[in-house]
Amino acid sequence: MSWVNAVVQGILLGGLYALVAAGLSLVFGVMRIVNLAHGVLAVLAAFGAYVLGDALGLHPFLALLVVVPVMAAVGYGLQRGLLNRALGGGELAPLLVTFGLAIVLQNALLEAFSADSRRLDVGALGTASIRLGDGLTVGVFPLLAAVVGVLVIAAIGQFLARTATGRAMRATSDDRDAAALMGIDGRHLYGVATAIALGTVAIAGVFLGARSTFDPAAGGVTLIFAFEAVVIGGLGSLWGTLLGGVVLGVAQALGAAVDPAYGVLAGHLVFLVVLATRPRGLLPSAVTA
Amino acid sequence: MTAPLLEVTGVGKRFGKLTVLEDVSFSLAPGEALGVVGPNGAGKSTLLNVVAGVLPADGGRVVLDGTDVTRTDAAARCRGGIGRSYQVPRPFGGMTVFENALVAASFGAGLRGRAAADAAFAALVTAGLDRQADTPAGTLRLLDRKRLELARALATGPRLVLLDEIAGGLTEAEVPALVETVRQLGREGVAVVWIEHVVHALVAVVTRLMCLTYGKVLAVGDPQAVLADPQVIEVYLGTTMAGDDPGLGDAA
Repeated sequence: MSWVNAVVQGILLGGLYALVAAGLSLVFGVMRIVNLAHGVLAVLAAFGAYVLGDALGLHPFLALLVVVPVMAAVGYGLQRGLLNRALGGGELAPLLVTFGLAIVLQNALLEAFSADSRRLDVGALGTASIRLGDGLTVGVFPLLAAVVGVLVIAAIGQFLARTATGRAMRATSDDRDAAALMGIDGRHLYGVATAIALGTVAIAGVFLGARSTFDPAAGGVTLIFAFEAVVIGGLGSLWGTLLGGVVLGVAQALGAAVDPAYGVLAGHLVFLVVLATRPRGLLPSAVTA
Repeated sequence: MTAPLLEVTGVGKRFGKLTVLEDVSFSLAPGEALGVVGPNGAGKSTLLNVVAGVLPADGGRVVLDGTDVTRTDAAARCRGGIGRSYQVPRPFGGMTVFENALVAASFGAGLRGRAAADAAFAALVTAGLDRQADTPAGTLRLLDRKRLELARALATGPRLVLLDEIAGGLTEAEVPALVETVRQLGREGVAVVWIEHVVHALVAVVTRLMCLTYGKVLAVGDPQAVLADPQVIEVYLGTTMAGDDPGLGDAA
C-alpha cells in the first residue's frame, strides 16, 4: 500500500472522527462538560437507525430524518432534566453523571439488542469507489462521511458566528453570569447546545454503523477517538476538532500501513505526543471561546 | 408623584455569618436617578446584585413596576427591564465589541435582525465605543471595558439601569460626557441607581443620594443634605475622600 494512499484514507477517516467529535467539542466549548456518554449516544443512534431499517425497511440515510430530531429532543431533555442540575454540583458532578448515563445506556442496549454485532446496510454505496490515479482509490462512502463531517463543523461554526442564539452561546461560554445580565437564559441555551450535539452525534452514529460493525459496547472506543480528536485539536475549538480528527485518522492509517496491528496504537501515540508537547492542542480556542 | 418603578423593601443579605445588607429599603420613580455612596465593603455592589437578581435576597422584597421579582432570576429580570453594569468589567472576550452589545439587544431587549443591530450600535455610540465596534472585546483597555459595561447595560433596553463605578478612572474631561449620558437616560424615563466614588459626578445628576455603611442605610435624601450629614462625613467623606481621590485605584 502506498503512503499517499494511507494518508488519503487517513484524512477521510479523520473527517468521520471529526463528525463524531463535533458534538463533544461543542458541549465542552459551551458548558465545559466532558460528555462521557457521547460514544454510547452515537451507538444508540445507530441502533435507532437499525430498528427503523429492520421494521420499516428504511435506508439508514432516510432513517436520519427520524433519528436526528429524536436524538436532538433527547439531548434537550437530558440537559434540562439532568445535566443542568449536575452543573450546580461542581466540576466532577457532570463527569460522574455522564459516566453513569453511559453505563446505563450501554446495558440497556445490551438488554434490548444482545451483544451481537450489527451493521447498517447502505446498499451499493457501501462498496462504490472512485479511482483517482495509480493505486489510489477512495471509497464513495468514506468520502461522503468526511464531507458530512466538514459540513457539520462548518454549519456549527456559522451558527455560532452568525445567529443570535449562536452569539448567546459564545457569550454564555465566556461568562454565564454576565450573559444572564443580558437576558440570556443559560438553562435553555445549554439545552439547545446539547440538542445540536446529539443531533450531530446521531448523524455520526449512523455513519459509524454503516462503515463497520457495532455492538452495545462500541461506545467506549468511539468516545476515545472523539475525545482524542478534540484534545489534539484544542479543547472547545471546532476547526481544531476537524484538524485533530484528521491528525488522528492519518496517524492510524499510517500506523496500519506499517502493520495492521499498529493502526490504533499509532493514533494513541500521536495523541500522547500532542498532549505532552502542545497540551492546549494544535488550534486552541479558535471558533468558540 | 407617579407609581414607583422600583421598590426595595427590607432587603437583607448574608454571606455565612457576615451580614452584608440589613433591612435596606428605597424606592425609585421612572426617570429618577439615585446615587449610592459608602465606604468600601458597605454592601453597595451587593445591593445592585440583589436588585439585578445576580444574588438572591435572604429577606425582603424587590418589586419592579408592581411585579414582585424577588424570586426571579437575573435573565428574566433583565428582560423585565433591569440593566446592570459590573464594577469589574466582564466583557465576552471572545466576541467583538459590537457582538457584545448585540447579544444584549437580542436577548435583553428581545429585538431581532436590523432592530437589534441598530439598538446595539446606538448603545455603543452613547457609550463612546462605536469606533471600536469590530475590536475583540478581550483586547480592550480597562476604560473601554467600563464603557462596554455601560453599552451592554443600555443595549438591553432597560427601564432601570444599575451602574457600578463607571466613572472611576475617567479623566476630568470625560466625566461631563458621562454625566450628560446619565441625565439623558432620565429624560427618556429610564431610572438609574449609580454607585460612584466620584461624588461630584454623582451630585451633578442624581436627585437623591443614599449612603450605605455596614450594609445599612445611613442616610438618604437630597444629595447636599446627605453630604452635609455629620454621620456621613464621619464614615465616608472624612476618611476616603480626605485627599479628594477620585477613585482611580478602585477599578480593581
